[in-house]
Amino acid sequence: MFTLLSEDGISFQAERDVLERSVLLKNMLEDVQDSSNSIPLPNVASAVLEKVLHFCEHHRGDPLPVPEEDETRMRKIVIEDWDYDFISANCDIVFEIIMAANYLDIKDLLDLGCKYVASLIKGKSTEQIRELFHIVNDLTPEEEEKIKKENQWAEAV
Amino acid sequence: MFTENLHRQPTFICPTSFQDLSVFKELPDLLWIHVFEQLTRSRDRYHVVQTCRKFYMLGLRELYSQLSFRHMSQFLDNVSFWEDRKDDMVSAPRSISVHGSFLSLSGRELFLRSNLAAAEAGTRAFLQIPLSIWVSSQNHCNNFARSVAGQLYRMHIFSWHAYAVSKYVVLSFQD
Repeated sequence: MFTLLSEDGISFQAERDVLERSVLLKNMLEDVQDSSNSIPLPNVASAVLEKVLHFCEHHRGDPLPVPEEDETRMRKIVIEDWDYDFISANCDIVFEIIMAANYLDIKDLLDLGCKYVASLIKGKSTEQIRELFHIVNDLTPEEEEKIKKENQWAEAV
Repeated sequence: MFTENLHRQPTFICPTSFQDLSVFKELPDLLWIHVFEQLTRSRDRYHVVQTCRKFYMLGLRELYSQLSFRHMSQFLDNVSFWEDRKDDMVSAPRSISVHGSFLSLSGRELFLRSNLAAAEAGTRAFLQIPLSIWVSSQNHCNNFARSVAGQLYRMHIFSWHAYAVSKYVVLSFQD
């Protein structure tokens, strides 16, 4: 067992194969045999770390995701039911989960979080996307018109 | 398993439907790009790049990863996009779909012959389609569209040189 210390000073215990879902922790643990010292994670709050470890525990033993071999292959989105429920239940901290997954280098969790955000964008108009993320439009009307015209091929696809 | 393909995307139901997403202002650029990569439809990426200057810069490459021209007007409106580009956007498209009705009969034959030759030789084929053929194919549209039943030719390309501003549209095809 290893001990992780969250940003706000809470300890979490987990086994090696759970922590190795994170490339960062896997590399850190490579030369560590005993677990006497706790590992500080100054960028992850306990509320987020708890969820991240929950995710890693569920996926312990799964093959690690590999980079896509063929970029030209048709993109396919496959989300397991458990992952779907997990991210839906934690959507109020999805930003924190994405940041933690990026910091800890947990590819499948990062992908899941980004897919969730993409699903919020899906089907929305430009104005609705601005409202969603509180974005101020800083394009001039001329620029906007040009972008619209040049890329209108994409509208029907 | 919850499976979706190219043109559909899972819809998540969020219990806190009025969640405040303004915190995403802090999301690093690389992660925004990763979000945009998860969008499966060009239309959604099209809406993203119109949002603001930042999203235009971050989303453009993903938008151009799959190019598709269904109508001649879309192609012609896109020509100015490629003029005087200083960046390496020409390397962004991984595939381009061109509506069959774009190609005149001679253009289509050229395409098929070139593709066959490439398959036999196991090498890349390069094909130049004079813009005049593309444009004049509008005249052939009625007959030709009927003959190809509106199908799309899907082509995988290594690099995309949209020198439509000169005389040619140059597509390099993967074998």
